[in-house]
Amino acid sequence: MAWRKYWEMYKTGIKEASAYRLMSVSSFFSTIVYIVLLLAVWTAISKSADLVGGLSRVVSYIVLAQVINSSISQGLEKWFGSKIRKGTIVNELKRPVSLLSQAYLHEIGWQSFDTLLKSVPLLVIGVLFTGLELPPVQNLLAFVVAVVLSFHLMLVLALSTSMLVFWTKTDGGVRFTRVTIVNFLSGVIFPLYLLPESLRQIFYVLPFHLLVDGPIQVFLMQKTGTEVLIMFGQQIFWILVFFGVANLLWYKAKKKLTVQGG
Amino acid sequence: MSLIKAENLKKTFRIYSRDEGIRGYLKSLVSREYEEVHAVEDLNLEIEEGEMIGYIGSNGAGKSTTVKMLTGILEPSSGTVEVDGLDPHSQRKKNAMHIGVVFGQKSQLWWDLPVRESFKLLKEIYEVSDEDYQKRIDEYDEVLQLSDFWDQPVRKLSLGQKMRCELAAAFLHQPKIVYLDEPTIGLDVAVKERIRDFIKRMNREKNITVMLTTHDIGDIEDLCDRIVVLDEGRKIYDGELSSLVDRFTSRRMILDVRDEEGFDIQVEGVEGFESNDGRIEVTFDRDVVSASDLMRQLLDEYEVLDFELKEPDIEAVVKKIYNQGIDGE
Amino acid sequence: MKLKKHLKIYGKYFKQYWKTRLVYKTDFLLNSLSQMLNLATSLAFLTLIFTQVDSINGWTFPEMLFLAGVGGISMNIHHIFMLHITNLGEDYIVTGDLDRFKVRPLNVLYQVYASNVRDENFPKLITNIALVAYASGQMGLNLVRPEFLLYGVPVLVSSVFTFGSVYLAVSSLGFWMARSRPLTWIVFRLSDFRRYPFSIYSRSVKIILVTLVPLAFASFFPATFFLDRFENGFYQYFSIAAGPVFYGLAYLFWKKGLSKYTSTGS
Repeated sequence: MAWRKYWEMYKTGIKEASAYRLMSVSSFFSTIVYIVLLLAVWTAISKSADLVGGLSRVVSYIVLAQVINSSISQGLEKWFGSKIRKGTIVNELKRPVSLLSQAYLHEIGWQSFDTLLKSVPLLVIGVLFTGLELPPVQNLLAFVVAVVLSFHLMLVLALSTSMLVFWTKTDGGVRFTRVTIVNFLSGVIFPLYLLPESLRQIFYVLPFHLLVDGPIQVFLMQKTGTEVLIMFGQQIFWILVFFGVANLLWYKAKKKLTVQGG
Repeated sequence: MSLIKAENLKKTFRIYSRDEGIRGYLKSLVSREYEEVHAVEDLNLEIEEGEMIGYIGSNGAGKSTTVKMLTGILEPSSGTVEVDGLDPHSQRKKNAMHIGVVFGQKSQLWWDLPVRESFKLLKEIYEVSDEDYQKRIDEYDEVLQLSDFWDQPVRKLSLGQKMRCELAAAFLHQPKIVYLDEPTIGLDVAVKERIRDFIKRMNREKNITVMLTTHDIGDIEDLCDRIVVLDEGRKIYDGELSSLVDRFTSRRMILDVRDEEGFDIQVEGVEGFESNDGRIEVTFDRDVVSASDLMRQLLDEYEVLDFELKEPDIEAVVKKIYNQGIDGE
Repeated sequence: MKLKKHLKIYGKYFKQYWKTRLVYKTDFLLNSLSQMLNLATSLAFLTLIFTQVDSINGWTFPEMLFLAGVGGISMNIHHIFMLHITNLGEDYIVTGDLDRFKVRPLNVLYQVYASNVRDENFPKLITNIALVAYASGQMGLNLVRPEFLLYGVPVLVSSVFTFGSVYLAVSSLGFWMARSRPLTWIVFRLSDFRRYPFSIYSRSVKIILVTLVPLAFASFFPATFFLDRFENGFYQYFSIAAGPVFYGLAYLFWKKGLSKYTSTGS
């Protein structure tokens, strides 16, 4: 039964994440530290100026951004990278299950563990300590859907950049670059709604705001009804686009591999 | 005054155990159960300058733990150890100047650098004078033929080439004592010869004390005058190689039988047998059954075409020690 | 003399390191690029903040740039030469590689530091220096004064070691936990606190920043000296002593861990 294989791969993702749980715990605490820092900075700012929507809106944004970020982070570049470096990538090609499905299930498995260990506690802390208010159930559900879509969008993005590892041979730099750029453009570093008008236009043309800023708006009920559905559509659109890009690069990478022999 | 003196040396490790799952993890935060492993117990060892000692025992017997205490890597749980008047753990750096080490798989050389550069670095670290350095490199090159790959990065060397470099590196500063851990493992016969040659030379010509841990019978026979056997953390034999063989009463008989299939011997005193290339090798304890008695039984039951009685040999002894420990199972 | 020998050997290690560096060129370029991107993002964040306000707790934009640059300089210098310790658990303890270092007649910590140079931080260092120069220019601050040099050089050295103390202490946990790299992520985040004025933090955070994670002495207080903000005179001068003091403490912790070290295998 094919689904059995997939279930096993999914479980592998969870088991690996559990084996490396020190990483998840450390990541959780660094996020807390980061939130503490941002709270201090924005509180100081709010004393010297009137922020659009007030301090509480910024605080909610920051906390939610971290919650979402913890739910969508990807280690694909490293996953591919280590296989490329060790040379096992060629063996994987021979397996009956496609490499991409393996990567996908592995990431979902890992993320399931992380969501439980990081994102949920962060959300709880946000509600308990920073005055974050939970929206009504249907918005909350829409939020969850949005985050799941964000996860997939980040996945195909990381998948695309992972393909670059076939050419650059090094994975750390590639991942760090992706994370830095995406964090900045998605709203994790600076709340997008506070951007000066000109910049905001650019940020909203690019797809990255759909990763974090979009779902935040759903949670904070700034997007409702059809607006939410339109956003889902945009997310799906970009997922397909980057999936296509990833496949194209994967095709080229496979050619490169077989040409090099092995 | 012995060069190395270990008295009542003891090393105990605590192995912490933890229950499975979340429950176990939480429990472990409060209290942890542990098991004490006595890696080395009550070890007394004295080594004179210029000796070449073979240090043998099955895996887990405590060999590497002892060497680690002698080289200062581990602190003994109790007891004293003195190497050339120094305490290797508390006077680690001072002691390190006078020792050389080859740790089997772990390299003392720099992975990405050409061999030449590794040696230059070691020269600085061990404060070898320019004169001595040049002299020794030339001398070692003669025996180990390092110039073949002098400019190659260490990562590109074959196992044999790397081992030759490791040995030269260990002896570069002509330390008082060199600890060798499995220096010939995985090497072909020609390289082994060369390495043994080198070690012998260093020991005899420069009076460098050598402590050798090895599984290789050839190493033991060729190099060691004195053997120390360790089993489950205790020293069980310390003396000449020849006497060791006498003490171990296992002997081997090699048979050529017409029908090897279904060969089974149930004679008291037989410790085991194995099939090698169509010939059967029977190991037996000569204290329990004599060679002639055993032979008579075998001739009774099987058609023996040819046989050979092996001289009391170190191979059987070492095999037995490594496979079964001193008492055997 | 012991120190001379260690320095000479370090020089050789360093030279050798550079020779192999050229082999891994793409690594260096890519890592430097990503580090610069990171720095650019932090500066962008600062710039964006100042689209909302003119000053934070009385600190203007050039002053903030100056602060970021000063803290960045000491941190970058630390990272170039001393960041490798964060790999202690994964690269040296789990592998048992520390054994190799213990049998050499050299200080073990020194050998770990000397094993790698994180030169991808070098472009960041240059940028932070330029940032300090630019910010000073904007404020009309003349940095080339004898009292600045007299204070600046020792405080810079001390700051590098203040950073060193925090990273060393956290990495030393690797002796007990067998892993050190994930723990240092928390320290990286804490290092971000150096970019902002001390006064924005709550009391408990302030206490942490001068005791447990004394990074305020490696960035904020020295910066206030140059900016003529003499509110914290004692702290400014203590910044010169902070490095040796805290590093000494961290070193004791390291030693404790090292003696507890039992390499893998029987």
